[in-house]
Amino acid sequence: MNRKVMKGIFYALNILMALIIIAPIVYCFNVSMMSLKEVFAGKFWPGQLMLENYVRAVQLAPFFTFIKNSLITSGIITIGQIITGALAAYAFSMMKFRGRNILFLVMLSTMMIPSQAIIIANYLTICDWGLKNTYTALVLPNMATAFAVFNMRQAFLQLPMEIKEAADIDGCGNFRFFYEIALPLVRPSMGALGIYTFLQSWNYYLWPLLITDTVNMRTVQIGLGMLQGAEATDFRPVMAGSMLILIPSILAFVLGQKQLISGLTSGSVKG
Amino acid sequence: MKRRKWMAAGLAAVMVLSLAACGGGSNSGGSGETTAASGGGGTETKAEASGGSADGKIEITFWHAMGGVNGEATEAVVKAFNESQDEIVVKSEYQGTYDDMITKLKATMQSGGMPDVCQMYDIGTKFMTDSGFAIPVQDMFETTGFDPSCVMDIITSYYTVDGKQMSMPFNVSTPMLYYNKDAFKAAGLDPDTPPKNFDEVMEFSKQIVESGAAPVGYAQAIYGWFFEQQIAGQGQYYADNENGRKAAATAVEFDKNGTGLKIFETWKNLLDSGYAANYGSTTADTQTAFFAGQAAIIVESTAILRNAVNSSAFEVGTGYFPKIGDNAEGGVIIGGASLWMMDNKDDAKKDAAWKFIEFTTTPEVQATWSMSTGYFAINPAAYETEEMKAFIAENPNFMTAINQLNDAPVNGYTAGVLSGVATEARILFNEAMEKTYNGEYTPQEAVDFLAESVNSAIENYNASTQ
Amino acid sequence: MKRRSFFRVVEPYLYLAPAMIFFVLFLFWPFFKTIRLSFAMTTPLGEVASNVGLSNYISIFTSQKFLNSLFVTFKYAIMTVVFSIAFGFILAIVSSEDIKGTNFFRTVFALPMAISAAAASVVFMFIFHSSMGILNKVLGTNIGWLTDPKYALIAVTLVTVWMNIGLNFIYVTAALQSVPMDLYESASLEGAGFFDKHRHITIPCISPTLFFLLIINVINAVQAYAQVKMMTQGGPANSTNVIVYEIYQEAFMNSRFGMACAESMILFAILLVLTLLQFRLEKKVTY
Repeated sequence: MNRKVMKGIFYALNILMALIIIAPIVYCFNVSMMSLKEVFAGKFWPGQLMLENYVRAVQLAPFFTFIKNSLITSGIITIGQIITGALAAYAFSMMKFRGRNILFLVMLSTMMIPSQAIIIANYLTICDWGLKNTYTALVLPNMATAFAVFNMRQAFLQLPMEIKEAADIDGCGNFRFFYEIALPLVRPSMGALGIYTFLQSWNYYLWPLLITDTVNMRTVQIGLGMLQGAEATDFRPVMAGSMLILIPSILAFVLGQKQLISGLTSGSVKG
Repeated sequence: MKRRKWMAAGLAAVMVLSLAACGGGSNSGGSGETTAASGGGGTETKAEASGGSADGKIEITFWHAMGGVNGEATEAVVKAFNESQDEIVVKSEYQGTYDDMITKLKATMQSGGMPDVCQMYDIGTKFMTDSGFAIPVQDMFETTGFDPSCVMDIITSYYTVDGKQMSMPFNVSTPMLYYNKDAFKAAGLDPDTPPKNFDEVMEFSKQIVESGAAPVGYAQAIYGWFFEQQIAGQGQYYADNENGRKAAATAVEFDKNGTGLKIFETWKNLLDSGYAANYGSTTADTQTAFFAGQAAIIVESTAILRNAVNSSAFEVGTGYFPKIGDNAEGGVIIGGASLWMMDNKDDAKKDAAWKFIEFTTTPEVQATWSMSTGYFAINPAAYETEEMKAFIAENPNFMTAINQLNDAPVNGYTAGVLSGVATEARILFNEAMEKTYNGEYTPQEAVDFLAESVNSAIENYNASTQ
Repeated sequence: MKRRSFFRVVEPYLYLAPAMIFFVLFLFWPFFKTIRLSFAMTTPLGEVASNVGLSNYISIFTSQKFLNSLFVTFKYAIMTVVFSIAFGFILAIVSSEDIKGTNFFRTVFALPMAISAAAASVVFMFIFHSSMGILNKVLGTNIGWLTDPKYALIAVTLVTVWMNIGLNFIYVTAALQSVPMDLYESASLEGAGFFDKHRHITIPCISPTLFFLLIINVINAVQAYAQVKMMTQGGPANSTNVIVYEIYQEAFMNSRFGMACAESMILFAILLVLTLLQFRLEKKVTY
């Protein structure tokens, strides 16, 4: 009896929370389908399904090019950060060397540098190298972050030390251990980091804005900014644009999340 | 009822545009020093088939900050230019908001890769002049035989520094008053008589709210531009050295000549009366409140006229920007943006840039531009074209803006302030106004705070640009 | 033998090299420039006009606006960090109960993570819109969520918490998987209730994750910027002028890079101290 009541309460809680969390997205979709009259009347549900606002959004900003650019840059950044992060994290967690703590601290401290403060200097560097308006420029400064290192380090630290000791005794080289044993064991963490990084880089704004001058190198967030500037009083195309850029990230998320959850639940890494 | 008229006007505009724009496209990609990207740059990528730009054409880049409808009209001007001759190809690139663009422009000034022509908002004039990277357009007048009198004096006066016209105005607007005619009728007011000054604004708003014609009588965004306008409207200077035009401004004057206090007091009283509302510093929010029928009277840029008529379900009326105290010397200041020639140390590009700018001033281009955007035509001859005459006949509201501009005296007050810290001053104004509205500052304290903060910013600017 | 030991010494640094190269080029080098500029007066283009020693630091600490931005950041950070972690935790607990549709609920709870600050801001701006926003309609109020200094920071916090829930939820959920089930079972046998179990077992067991989230959330909160830029531009009356937005304004709107760099250095110092404090806290709590 008591159990049943508890279950009912949890069900209700889950549903309630889900509704609250999803409401803004549903509302965004609804407004993107509304006529101007409905917007002014403050309706929640649209009276019809229409694509007019989407057509307008795509007219004002070439979203499909933007989505392609964002996919390419976010993909490269994600892979890059996982590689550089995992390598550095492995050294920090599994190896002993001089200056380990101080280097780790120095690396960690980069998380605290406000990006606005360094963006102009980076811009000048990239321009010096003649890389403006290229994918290389979009990804290069973001190929390594302290967050990735930190995150992977926490994952490696959760591995039982005995595995490493046994491998050392067996004469298993560091790289082989790293590649064949450690990495597969921290896969769930890598998955989580991958999703997080992908979404973060999908959301970059100031850097792509500065480093690209041409429309066909722009990314989705700038597209949204362009729309907002252009259609200040009519929210509908802006909402339609938001939906357009939400769809790929939600899709990536839902697909990746299934992997992630199964990875997370597939057994405790911690011994 | 009004719909059809607008459809017709819109159609006419579209036809003019497509006439100007027919034929092939422009070239793109290829030559770029900075465009290392795959696929080449340029907005007009669809035209890539029509031969490379290796055929001796001069390619220049043009940065602008026009999005949406205005962006489309800007692209149309560029396209028309590219098709009007076969020596120059203008590659236009939309760079986001003015603030985003100025940030990027600063970066290119240090690293190279400046555009050849750059649009810049009114309050960026001092920065552009001081940067030393701009070629004054006036330098081109003599050698090319350009007649500067084809642009209205009140418009060029804003962009004239030390007696020299620095840039060519492109999109020009002034503030004006918009009102809901239906609400006026419902409130028993004459729908053809907008309020002329703030006493009337108060009186009308009271009647509108009390009769229930609209929940809010009057609204205006918290926007430093309106503050600057009201100072000029009272026939006074914003800053010393005649608004910074005789020499660099060293301090503001609105605290000493009493205009600032008068403005803050008037606006604060209006809000406290309960007949007005504050929708914040985002001008779009005040506009939407008006379009939605919430606020019956607002002040806004003349450039939103088209949008106002299209978005509102009621009949829109327009009037002159309401005054605070009458003064024959006072009037509106023009706002908007102008086109600048950037110095890339390349004479061929310089000449090409000027040819493009010159093209934008022709009556035909100005007429099309004005009809499709709502900005003024800077060349009065544009109003003599047949299309424009027909257009104005159909849209009498358009006349309000033009008359207001023609009625404004050309003098140092209406030339507007020339300041290197104008952007910051507007942000500071927002703070002062917001704190006045919520009672943290009295109007006098607000003026003192604003004057003091702007003065210290000016001092810092002058020290750093010595 | 000797070669091998030489390799042993060098090997760890090889693992660090890829990340370090990027750090040096794109973080440390520009950061040194920042330090340099913080002692200079700069031209509107960001070049050094003259060296002014500590005067930038002195003027920001006597500036009402900067001190206010510190205070705003402090309020904002506390609200977002507490609510983000708390909601993430609650959602993780609620969805880890053994009921049908868990996977669906988990996906929904983590979803805000996929939404960019730009898109979220745009949507919430409309929800908060004072004349047409759905929030005022639903509540039957007439509040200027983004235009009234009393509410603006709360509105921005709300959006941030909403965006942050996903990340916190995912990390707590993952950590919950590693809590040994037998601990709960034996606690149940001893008659521990729902709340006792989580207080005495869950929280201590996942404390490393909570610690990680604390650091990440604090850093993210103190560096928040996009929401503020899109929604309020620091206003009304500076009530949402968080420190990073203040830096952005100084650098890009007011063109005073020197001052902006000095402010960045202060922000850096604050974050460094906060993180060190948290590391000390971790040692105390988890060992």
